Amino acid sequence: MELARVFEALDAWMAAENLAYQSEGLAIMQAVEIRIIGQSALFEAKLGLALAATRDVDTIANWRDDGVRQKLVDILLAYGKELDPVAREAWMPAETEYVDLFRGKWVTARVARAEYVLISKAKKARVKNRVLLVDYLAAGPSDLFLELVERYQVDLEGLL
Amino acid sequence: MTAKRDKLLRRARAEARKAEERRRDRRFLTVMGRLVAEGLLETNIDEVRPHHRKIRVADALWAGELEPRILELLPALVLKKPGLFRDAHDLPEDLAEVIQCVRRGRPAPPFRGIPAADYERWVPRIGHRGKQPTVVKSFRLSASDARLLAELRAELGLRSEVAVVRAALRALRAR
Repeated sequence: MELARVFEALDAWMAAENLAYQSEGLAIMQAVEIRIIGQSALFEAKLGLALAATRDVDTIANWRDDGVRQKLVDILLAYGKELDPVAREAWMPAETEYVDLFRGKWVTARVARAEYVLISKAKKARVKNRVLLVDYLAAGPSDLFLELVERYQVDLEGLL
Repeated sequence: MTAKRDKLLRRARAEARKAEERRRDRRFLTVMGRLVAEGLLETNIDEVRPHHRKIRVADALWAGELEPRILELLPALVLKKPGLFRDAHDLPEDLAEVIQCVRRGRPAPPFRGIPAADYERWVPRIGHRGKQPTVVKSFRLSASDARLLAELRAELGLRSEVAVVRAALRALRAR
């Protein structure tokens, strides 16, 4: 699935809704920034690693309007995906860098850099992601990842 | 430091080679293929071909060692979509225990390294959406109470006597 299309559809929906609200003199919906983390972010990173993911899409967002969140749920469902109900509980390093996936008038979608996603997995979900992390190490970890390993005191030996 | 890191990466490469071999195993490809066809998993592994043949629980357990998301889905699948499997009636002890706990609403143990919260969240999301497993409760009724239950079912036009009990419970709660 091309995740960018989902956000493009959400942006188009918000544009149409806001136009209607404006013409009726009503307050418009505020722009939203959606950050993609977890397995979905790794798929977007195209690292060349063997990946599997459930239909959940992990996101962090500043939902000012629940209607927008609900519309995203509906659009994702049309693609056979779901908004992860527990993504907000996921830990990501405070300094996580995000790269643009889609930038529209109302919706900005950004994807966490793979190194931060992987360090989050190594720190908080080692069992579930052991093989993935080993594959990543085998492929040659980036300097940034190794820096994060030091910073967050991740035990790589314990993975092997 | 570098020597230590080099050793670590060598070990990782050796492990990754083993994982790569296991990903080509029929058991892994068959289980992944079915779960992808069901829309429960997605993958970028080219060798995985979606299909609708039944799979074996033992193969799912084997494949789950490589891809724990399979283990995360497995209890909910056995409970809500047993038709996916050739042998859902013949479960290993730990899986059977997990299924019993979920079915009866009892605190469930971790399942092969997967915390209960991680596999339980799939139960209402697989098969009939939002449907939780029901719990068996048995009560002894007098003949007159049993007759009253049957009469209420007919009068209220409900499908079953348990629907009468459910309606009565909600009415009592709403008082």
